[in-house]
Amino acid sequence: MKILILQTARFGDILQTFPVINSLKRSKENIEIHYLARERFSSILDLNSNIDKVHILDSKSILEPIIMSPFEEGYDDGTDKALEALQTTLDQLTEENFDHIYNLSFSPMTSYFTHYLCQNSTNTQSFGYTRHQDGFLDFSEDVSAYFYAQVGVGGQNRVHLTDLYATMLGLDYTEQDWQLPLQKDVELTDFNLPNNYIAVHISASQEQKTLNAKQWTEILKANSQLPKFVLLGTKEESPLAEEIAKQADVINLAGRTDLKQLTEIIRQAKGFIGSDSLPMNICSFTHTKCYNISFNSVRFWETGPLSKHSYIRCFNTSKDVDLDLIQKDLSAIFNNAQLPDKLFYYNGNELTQRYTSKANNYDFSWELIKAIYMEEKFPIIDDMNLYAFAEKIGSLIHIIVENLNFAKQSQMNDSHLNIITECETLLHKIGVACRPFRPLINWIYTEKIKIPPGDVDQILERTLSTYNQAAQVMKIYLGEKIHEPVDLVE
Amino acid sequence: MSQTPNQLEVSLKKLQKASQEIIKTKGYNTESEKINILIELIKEQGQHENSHPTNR
Repeated sequence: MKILILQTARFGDILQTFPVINSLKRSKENIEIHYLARERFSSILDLNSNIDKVHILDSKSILEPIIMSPFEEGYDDGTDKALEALQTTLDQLTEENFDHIYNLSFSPMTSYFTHYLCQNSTNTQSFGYTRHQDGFLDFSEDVSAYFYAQVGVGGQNRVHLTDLYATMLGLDYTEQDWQLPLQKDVELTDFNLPNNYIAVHISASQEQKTLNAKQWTEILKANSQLPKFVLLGTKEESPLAEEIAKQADVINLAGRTDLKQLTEIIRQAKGFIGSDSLPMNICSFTHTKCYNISFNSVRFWETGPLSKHSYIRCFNTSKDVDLDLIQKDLSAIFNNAQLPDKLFYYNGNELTQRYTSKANNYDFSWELIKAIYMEEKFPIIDDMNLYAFAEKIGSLIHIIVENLNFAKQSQMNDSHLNIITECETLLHKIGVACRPFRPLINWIYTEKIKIPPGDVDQILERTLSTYNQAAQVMKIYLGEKIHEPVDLVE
Repeated sequence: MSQTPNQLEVSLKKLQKASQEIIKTKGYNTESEKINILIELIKEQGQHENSHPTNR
């Protein structure tokens, strides 16, 4: 069997697909694994020997004719040449005639890419985002639809990305799948590392996802009870590291390590401290104790560290960082003291939620997601404001169902369509304003996307079925009150 | 190179128009799909923020 894995995002995203690659290679006989990545991030694939062939999406070369065109009236703007370059990549991949394509990128671009390859090959089955025959977004299976509705910034999902991949592809990970082979040819002696040290990655993929130099310095210089800190980072991150190193007694290796050295430094460390980034993800494979400083703009539930001793401290934004609290966390983690209440830690036994804390982790939205997708009990509304939102949602869904039924019995006319469109706009607005019920509204929207092209009656029937299911959910909260009008303007 | 975002923007608009035209006249097909891949590749150029590799 020949398969293609698509991940056109960055290093960390590619690393999150490694358990999939390892699991496939371990569990399926005669499997040939191909991987499509961007040139800039493909070097990380060298760390995984289970990949048989790497294909490069060279977006720079594809877009170069456009970027380099003279951009003057009367001149060719380069789009035809760009399309030719794209065609070359598509042809190379089509020739491989893959049995399966696993699109783990969940991006619009890769959805078209996947659909193109399936259309132009014989018997290729896709998993992940693809396209309907009329070009609209489609999901090959239920996990992709879940991903679209509930995962990412603004979503309330708590299932880790790697677990979503496993569910999507029917894989069961074992410990073997969470390994990065030891890089035997890597030499670390030049770095004069002490026997006992904590690796620190001072940066992240975005500035707001990490701390500033002053905050790092405070953390690193104050902790004399902890082993020596070793700063890691890219060349671009060197100035930040140098600023910290001027004031704190640390070993600064920022800009001095390659990917293999970085991996081995993290493997040999007593622990790791950092924000959401590739080095933090490496800890999951080197089984390094990890302290992740996270923020609400990052869904740590989905991309957090998965080594058995992983801890996450989540702040609202980088401005809300409490340095004393971080000091207490570090002392507890590295000196085996009692863990603070709201510190999240890895709980490997719970596959639908990898992290927990001693504090109450209840969240209505997450409970609602579990009820909708995992057949768990629907959460109770214990707040009058939330009940008022539920009444509005119930009423809107009821009006939509009524109008869809009218349309089904007679003929869909502009009046029905306008009312349905207005109600859907209001539902969307409620979804934005009312976080707890957002999962249900996102579910409705995604179910509608799943409807394939067809005649009006078929589309009407599927839409009605979706709203009837949503009405059943709201009846749990409202009973027959769902039929009563409410003030939607309020 | 300061004109790059504009060049991409102009090409993006042209490609979007071309894709819509094909869909309108011939329906959704391989040709429009390729154009849509290119459109999305262009759109992604602005989204990969601070994508420095975490190595040398």
